[in-house]
Amino acid sequence: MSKNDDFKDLANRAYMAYHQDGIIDMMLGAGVTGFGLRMFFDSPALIVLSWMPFLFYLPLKTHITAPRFGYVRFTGEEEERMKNTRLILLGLLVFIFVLGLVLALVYGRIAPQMQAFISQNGILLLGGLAALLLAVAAAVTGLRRFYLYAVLTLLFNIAGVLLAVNEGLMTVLLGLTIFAVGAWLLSRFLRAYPLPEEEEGRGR
Amino acid sequence: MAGESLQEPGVQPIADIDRMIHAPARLMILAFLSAVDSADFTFLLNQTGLTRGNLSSHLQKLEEAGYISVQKEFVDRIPRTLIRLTAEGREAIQTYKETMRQVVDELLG
Repeated sequence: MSKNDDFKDLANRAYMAYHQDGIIDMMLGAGVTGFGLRMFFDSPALIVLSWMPFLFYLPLKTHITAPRFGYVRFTGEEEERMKNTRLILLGLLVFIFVLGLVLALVYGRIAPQMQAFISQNGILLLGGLAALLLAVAAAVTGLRRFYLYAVLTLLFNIAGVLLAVNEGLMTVLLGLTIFAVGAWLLSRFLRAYPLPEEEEGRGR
Repeated sequence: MAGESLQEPGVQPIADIDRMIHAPARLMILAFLSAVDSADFTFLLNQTGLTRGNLSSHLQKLEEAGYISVQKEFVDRIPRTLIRLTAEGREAIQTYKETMRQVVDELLG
């Protein structure tokens, strides 16, 4: 038993509260919406919209979360969880990139049946992979609402295929839904943690 | 147990309780600080629910006792007053936890 085991619930509670600001959800929602727009308009240049929102994550945390919630450096399990999250997300992004590259390279050489399967079920495979990524993120970060996003991803994906709705449009709708959840969480966070009247440290 | 003095073995742990830590507000502050690496004033204010004046006064006492250190640091180019447990504070809270366990064990048999 480590020295801090008795207080790990406190650290866990603080860690969870720190991530209830909805910023990560809004970034994810904006990224998914951007990816959907790229699919809808079939414009490779629009791919920038899918990753650009993530550039705002740290500045928003610094300017919205920290002044209200306070600044904290986690240690032990929480710090480990943050590191693992970043590593897993990076690993999955690299995996998807390599998978895409390999598929592109071998596509012409694989059996026609397999080509047909990929053509027919590509969107479902992509949706399944995205849902898996979100479920892994939920498990590692402990943010259980990411399981909901994983389920929503599958539902939107399957509904799009069954109803023959444009997959780009369904992805945009999914992104906007996640963004709306994030915006709701942010509004709740701003009410729970108003800006302190005095600047940090002045009370000392 | 009537007439038993604090020097007698049965209740000795009670006399060993560190009064600097035993105050609920200071215990809360130290508990949070022992669960994280470091935190600023606003974080402790939100987590403990103390008033600014109260928190400030308890932090001052803990700093004077050598249990916490208060340092100004630049984090992401923003100056922050970071509060962390010192080695002495970490040891003191560990001793406090062990003493409290002994007290509970003694009292509940």
